Amino acid sequence: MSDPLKDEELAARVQQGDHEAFAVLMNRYSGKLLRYGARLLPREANLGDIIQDIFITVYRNMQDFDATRQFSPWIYRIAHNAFVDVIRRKHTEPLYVFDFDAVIPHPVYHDPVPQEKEDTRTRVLLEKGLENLSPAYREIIDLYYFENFSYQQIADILHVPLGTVGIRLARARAALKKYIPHPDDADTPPEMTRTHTQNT
Amino acid sequence: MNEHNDNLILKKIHDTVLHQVETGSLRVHSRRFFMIRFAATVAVAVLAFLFSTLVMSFIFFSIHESGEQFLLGFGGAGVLTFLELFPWVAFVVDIALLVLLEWLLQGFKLGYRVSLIVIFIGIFGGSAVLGFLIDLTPLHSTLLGLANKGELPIVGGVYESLRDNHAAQGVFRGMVVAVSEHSIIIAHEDNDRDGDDGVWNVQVPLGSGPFHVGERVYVFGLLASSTIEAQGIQLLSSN
Repeated sequence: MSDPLKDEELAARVQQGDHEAFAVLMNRYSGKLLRYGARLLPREANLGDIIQDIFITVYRNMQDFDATRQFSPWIYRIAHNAFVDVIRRKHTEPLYVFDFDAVIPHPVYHDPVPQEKEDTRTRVLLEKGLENLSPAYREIIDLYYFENFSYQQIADILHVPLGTVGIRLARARAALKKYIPHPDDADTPPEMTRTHTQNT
Repeated sequence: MNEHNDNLILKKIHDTVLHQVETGSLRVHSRRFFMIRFAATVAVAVLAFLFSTLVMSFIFFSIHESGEQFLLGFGGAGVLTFLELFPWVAFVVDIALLVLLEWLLQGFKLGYRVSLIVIFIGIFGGSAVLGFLIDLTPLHSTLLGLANKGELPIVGGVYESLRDNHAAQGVFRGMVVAVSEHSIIIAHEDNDRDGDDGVWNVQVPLGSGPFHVGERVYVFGLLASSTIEAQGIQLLSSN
């Protein structure tokens, strides 16, 4: 099977019983989910088994996917639930015990940083600072800067209002400032940029 | 985790899952499964909302049927007693049902695109308005009538307790059996032979009344040796 088919078309084929289409989807997403899990989960987590369980859940629930909508937020939602379960079970870090930002309404505001070309240095710095953050902040930085999801897609993955995505990302950036040294100005965070390509 | 290890892990996942798919040990849940699950979720959500609405209407009914809304007009002590006698258990049950409903709604797009507090206020408001409307119907009065005849199982006791006296809190209900210049005599008898039955002489505060024999009254005051020094008296509905 050639790969240019969109994820949603492949998912529709899986719904009709096409196993090869599922193999292509696995090829597309296994690496991404592995990276997503590696950033979010504690090092001792058995990531291979967790990702395998995610794909098993994805396959079982394939008929629940609405092929008129985007596939990537749907599969990341399943992965998010699996990762949150692992963190809860392991009790290694406090996670979403009470998310006040999801309780009260926030205005929807967008990333003030212009979306410029990918800055490799920034990503390296972000990755260094990530492990110091709480899982909720780590996850939102990962989804926005590394997985290139839009605010709306992140809202659909985390099942939080759009305004909460904006406020949580702003808080995560502020928390990250403490851990990222800037060569020119210690008080100024490095420019956080992201690629133009949206995760679709 | 280096790249070589990652590739090994991914290949193992790939092979294991695809093997399960191809051998049929891993199967897709049918569309019907998801339809049934969706229908069950909607049904539980609707039931939770309806039950919450019924509980809310009972709260309204219990407040006006017991006469406890009068306490709000009897000063600070009245307000405190109102809070003490408020049907908190029903209120907590209602809140629990609404929290369950909110949790169920989180599974739907509408349920998470709006902040939790807005959804909660929405469903609480909806439940309160519908509860108020249900309270205008004869539903609870009918159930109370059945409870008084001993014909309402399970929740009969809850309805019967609405007209109980709360002497410790200074709350009494009864029928006026005699009237004099500055006092009345009230009697409470609900045929259950419990401790809240009795006959009391009530000192009527200035500005209250006049009262007539046969009227049902709600009295808030201090009881001392069968005499109640009333801080407030209000007429209750005669049914």
